[in-house]
Formats: sequence, structure tokens, C-alpha cells
Amino acid sequence: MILKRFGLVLLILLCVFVIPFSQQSDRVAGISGLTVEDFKYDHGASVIIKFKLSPDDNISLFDYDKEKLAAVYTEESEDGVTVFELSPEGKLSAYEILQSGEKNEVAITDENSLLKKNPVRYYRIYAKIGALAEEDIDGGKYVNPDGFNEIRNISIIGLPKYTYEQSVLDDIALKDKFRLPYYNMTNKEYEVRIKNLDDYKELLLNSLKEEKKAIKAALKAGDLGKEEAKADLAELKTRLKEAKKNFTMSFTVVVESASGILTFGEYYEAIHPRVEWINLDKSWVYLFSIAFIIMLLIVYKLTKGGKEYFIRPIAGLSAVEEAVGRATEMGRPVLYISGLSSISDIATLASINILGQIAKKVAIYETPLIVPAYDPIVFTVIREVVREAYIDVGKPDAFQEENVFYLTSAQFAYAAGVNGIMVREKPATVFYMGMFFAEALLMSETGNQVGAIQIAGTDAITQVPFFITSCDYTLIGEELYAASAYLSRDPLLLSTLKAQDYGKQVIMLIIIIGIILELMGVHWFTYILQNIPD
Amino acid sequence: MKRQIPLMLVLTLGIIYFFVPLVSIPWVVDNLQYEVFNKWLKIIGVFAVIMSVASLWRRNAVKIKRKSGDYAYSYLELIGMVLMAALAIIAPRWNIGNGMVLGGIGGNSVYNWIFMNMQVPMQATMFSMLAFYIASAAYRSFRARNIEATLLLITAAIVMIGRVPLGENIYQFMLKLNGGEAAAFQWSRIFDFQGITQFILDVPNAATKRAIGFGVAMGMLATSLKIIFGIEKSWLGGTE
Repeated sequence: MILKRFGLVLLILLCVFVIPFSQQSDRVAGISGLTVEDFKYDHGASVIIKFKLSPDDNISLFDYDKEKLAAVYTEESEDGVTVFELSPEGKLSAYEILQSGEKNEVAITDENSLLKKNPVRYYRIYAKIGALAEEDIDGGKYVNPDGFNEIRNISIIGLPKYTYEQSVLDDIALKDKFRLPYYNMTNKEYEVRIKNLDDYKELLLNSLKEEKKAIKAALKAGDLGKEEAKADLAELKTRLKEAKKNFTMSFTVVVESASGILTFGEYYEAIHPRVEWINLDKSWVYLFSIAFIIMLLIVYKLTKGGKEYFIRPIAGLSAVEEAVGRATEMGRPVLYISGLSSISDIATLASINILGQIAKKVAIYETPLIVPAYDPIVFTVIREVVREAYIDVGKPDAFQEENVFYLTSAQFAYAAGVNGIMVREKPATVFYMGMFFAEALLMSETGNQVGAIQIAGTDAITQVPFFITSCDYTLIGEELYAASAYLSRDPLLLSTLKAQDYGKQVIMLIIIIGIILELMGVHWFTYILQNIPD
Repeated sequence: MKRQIPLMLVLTLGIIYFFVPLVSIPWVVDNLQYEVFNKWLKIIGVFAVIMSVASLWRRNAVKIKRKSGDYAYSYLELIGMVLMAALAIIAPRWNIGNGMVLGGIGGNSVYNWIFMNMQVPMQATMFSMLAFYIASAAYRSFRARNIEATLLLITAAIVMIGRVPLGENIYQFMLKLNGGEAAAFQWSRIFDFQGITQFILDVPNAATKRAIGFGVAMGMLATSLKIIFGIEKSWLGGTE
């Protein structure tokens, strides 16, 4: 009783202190030993971190990389507050702060996370590469023996780094590397996706406003003549108006061949970026998804109308009944591991669905079921799922709440905890369902050593071999998602498995057609498939 | 009603979020992709952490009360939990010498010292044990009990040799015996372990991984749809 009350007090303390505390540490992760005054994102272009330092503090900020160092600006203000302004143009994956000779690793931040606060909005602009003169081609100097250009790199001059994705350009270069004849490349229109334009625009407007202030100050100080200042201000006004209403950007696309720079693109002075309302790169994914949804709904409707489908047997799932029965006969518990991922992972959701079915089977025999959870949110869900399963089979009293518990969110501490449970409790059956990482073998080998019958299911391809080696049955990939339906034996749920099979048949058909056409020397089909965006 | 409201929420939000990655409308990106999702998840997460700590406390308290086997470990766990929480939250930030501070979670705090000198080495120990587990698991699976296991053994041996310098040395030696690269019949190619290893990884291995990948993608989609459309309700617990 005393222990429980102490726990309650600890909980209240957690509520009062940890929540606001954790928010603070989230804002400035990892900065230690320094009083952080402020940490904010300045319109996506830079991050400003203010440190309040005493005059005795010997502090310097540096990075491992000179390029990164160039992106760090330091500013001293009057009241002893040192301001570090970090520009996202540098890759600030990690840097160090030296304080009185002691190194403090600062755990922020990468280029992308700096821009995360401002939503990434994509725009599209088109760059047309200038036509090549005959002498540029130089009698096939830049053309490989197959008559194709080898594009090594495509880059942009004139735009801030954070406004476009180099990876997109790399993809274009890779795609055209062997496929594009030189005469086609010369007039090709390249599509460049531009992001964070709002930040860029805001920066531009700010700089123009600063310029205006400077002109006024110069006029006041007498450095600038009245007429001159008037003309400058008028010009500035036009530029401001232009920037606000008719925002333009200028840039040049550079294409680099295997032998050096091949050609510059045309110089664009007044590109008006268009907002991309629909992300067309994802259109193929949606097309396929919607086709699959339609197929799934048709199969579901047919099943509801009385049509029966044959579902292939899955050995690992057929063995669940036997595994639970074994635990009952031996009088030992069943251990269920729901994976090491969060609730937003579909493998975890599949694992929760399977747990519901297994908990019902376990509840019927009143065999103890131990479920240590890795993630707090997953824990709250699985506790309810297990409780409901016991209620559902009419055995609410058999549910032992302390057996469904949160263990830890540290990967190897969790593995150690689970191994400890296995060695102490000697479960007769262990289920591993969900997403697993390097700890998979640590747990399943221990399970093997204590003599438990083990059934694993994961979509983590790298962990499948380990489970196959150390477990009695392994559900590979999609079988994990099929398990819940299979165990429930509900014909409507089973119908979705049939839809999955049909989907795979379509993919197989596409692969076979592709192979046949390629063997026949017809390449357009493969070309279309290879050019589907990721 | 207890089941209807969550199902309706899942259906509505599931359909909305299905289309969120497709659109680049600023309001959608601002509010749905970042604000709502991240904030809600964080808020729920905080309450879930409190419930989780309570459950861990309860499990260990029950074990101690019942004096069930190895309950001494439960004392250790509870002491560790209370100690770390107290050091981080309650303990005053007194200087205790050697540049260490009693309270807080800073770089020179006792809390951080315990974490860096106990938790981190223990986790590293667990991770390094993996090497021995792999060795024992590999030994078991490489025993040539049937045709599949024999094939696995041969493939694994080739890949292992191909991944170490020995493989290249063998190939170079055989190439010399063969009369160098100029020889008309290159029988030494069968000893090109690096090349064979790369072929195994690039062709049969990649094909298998992609095949599993197709199935996984399809399974994920089907599971998501089953949950969104309310066909699968196991996650709610119970049947009706």
C-alpha cells in the first residue's frame, strides 16, 4: 500500500515538473551547461540561439567542417548576451561548444530540421538548356561510344541552396545519364522543384526594407544628396512593389558531362514560380492505391454476397493454437512482444490486431499472458486490447493488469528486460510480432535457450533471417498483416487477403510482360516503369 | 457509442490523411501535416508516459508485495526509477566538487553521469553480445541437414569469403595459375569470390527482398484500409 501511494506521489511530481521540463529540453535538445535565453526559428532562414554568458566564460563555437563554420555567425550584444545565428545553408548536423575547456556536444540539428518549422511548399519552374553549337560537341568528344551523353551532374547557379533539392537534380542526371542522346539534351526542358520560396521572399523584402532605412539614414547624415536619395527611394519602391506582387527569381542551370562542363542553360531573369497545388510526383502511387482499394472493395462485396475464397494455409498461424495449448499444459505463461516501433507504424497496428486474437485464445485457457511494451502509447492501446479480449470471452477476472506493462523505450535495455523475463518466468510460448531491429536475435536466441516455442512475424527484411534461424515459425513480410484476419477466421477479413493476392498477381503480370518485351527488344514499357517517380 | 465514435474518427481522419501528401496547399500542409498531427501525438504521448510509469510501478510493487521469485530486482528497478527522477526533478543544483552538480540533467550533473557511466555501457554490452548470438545462430542454421540448408551453407561460405581479403587473394593466385587475364579460357573466374558475392547480393538477394517488399506494401495498404473502413476492429478490443 505504501509503495502504491509513493507511486502516486511520484506520478503527481511527474505531472507537475516533467511536462514543462520536457518541453524545454525539447526546444533546445542537448544544450547543457549553458543558460539558453531563447531558441527560435527566424522565418526559416536561420536559427537564433541566445546564450547568456558571464564575462568569465571562455566560450567558442566551432564546427568540424570549415564549410559549416562559415554558416555560423556570432554576434555580441551589450548586455552580455551572446547570440549565435545559425544559417541553414551550412549543414549543421552537430557542432560543439567549448565552455571553459570542457566540451559539450550539442545535439541539434540538421539542415532539414532547421527548415521544419516552416512548411515546405513546392513550386515548379522550368529550365531550358541552351542549344549546343557543333563545336561544343567536338566530334563526339563528349559522347560515349553508344552515342549517348553521360550527364554527371546538374546544378543551379543563382538560387539559395535551401530553395531546391539537389537530390531531385541528381535524379534527373542519373535518369538521363545513359538514355538521352546529345541532340535531345540540348533543348530539353528540365523541371526544377523549388521550395521555401516564402522564406526567400520574406528575406528579400526584409533586405529591401533595410536598404530603405539605410538610404534615409544616409540622407539624414548628409552622406546622400536629396535628389539622389529621392531617386534611390523611388527605385526601391518599384523593387519592393515588384517583389511583393510579381515575385521573380533568376538562375542558371549547369549541366556537367563526363568531360567537364558541357553547357549552361539560358539565364532566367524573370521566372514566376507557380505554386504546386498537387504533388504530381505521387500521382502514380495514388493511382495504384486507388486501383487496389477498388479491387479490395469488390472482393469484400463479393464475400459479403456469399462467395467463398480459398485462403492458403500459413504454417506459423496454424501453430498458434498448438503453441497456446502447450503453454496451458505446461502451466507456464505466454510472452508477447509487440515490436519496437511506435503506434504510427502499420506493423505495430498489425501486431496489436494479432495480440487481440491471441489474447482471446489465451484467456479461454486462463493461461498467464505477459506483454512488456516498448512505447508508452502502444502500451496504453495494448492494455485495453488485452483487457477487452478477456472480457469478450467472459473471463474478465483472469486478466492480470500487472502482466501488461510498459518496460522501457531504450532498445537494448528493452532486450535485456525481455531476456530477464524469459529467464525468470520461463514462458512456454513466445510471440514476436511487429517491427524489430538489432535486438531481434538477442531476444529470440534467449527464447530458444529457455526452450520456448517461438512464433515470429515481421516486415523488417533484415531481421527475418535471424527469426528464421532461432524461431520455430516465422511470418515473413505480408504474412504479418494477414495474421489477424487468418486467426479470426472471419470471412470478410479473409477476403482482403484474396485482394492482396490479386494485387500481387497484377505485379507479377507486369514483370512478366516487361521481361518478354525486353527480350523482344521493345523498351518503351520498361522505360515507362523506370520513369515512375518514387 | 464507445466504438462508433472512434470508428467515425478513424474513417474521417483516415480519408483526409490519405490525401494530405498529395496536396501542397499551404493551409493543409501547415495545419494537418505539422500542427495537428505532431501536437496531438505529443499531447497523447505525455499522458501515455504517465500511465506507463504507473504500470511499471504497479508491476514491481505487486512483485514485492507477493515476494515472487527474484523480487529483489524489483527493488533495484524502483530505487533506480525514484533516484533518477529525484536527481532530475527535486535535487538542488548544488556543486559537489569536480565540476559536478547534484541536480538537473545537464552535462555535468549526477543524473548525466549515471546515464553515461551505467546505462550507456550496459546498452553497449547488450549490443556487443549480438556478435556471439549471431555466431551461435549461424552455426545452427548452417548445418547441412537438407538440400535447402546445404545451399544456404554453400552460399554463406561464398559470401563470407568474398567479403574478406582472402577471397581476392585466392582469385589472384588462381588467375596467375590460369596464365593471367590474357589467357583464352578463364577457368579461374569460378574463384572470383568477390564477383560471385556481388552477383548473389545484387540478383537473387535483391529479387527476394523486392518480392517481400511488394507483399509488405500490399499488406500495409490492406491493413490501413481495413482499419480506416472499419472492417478490422481488433485494435478496439472485443468483437462488438
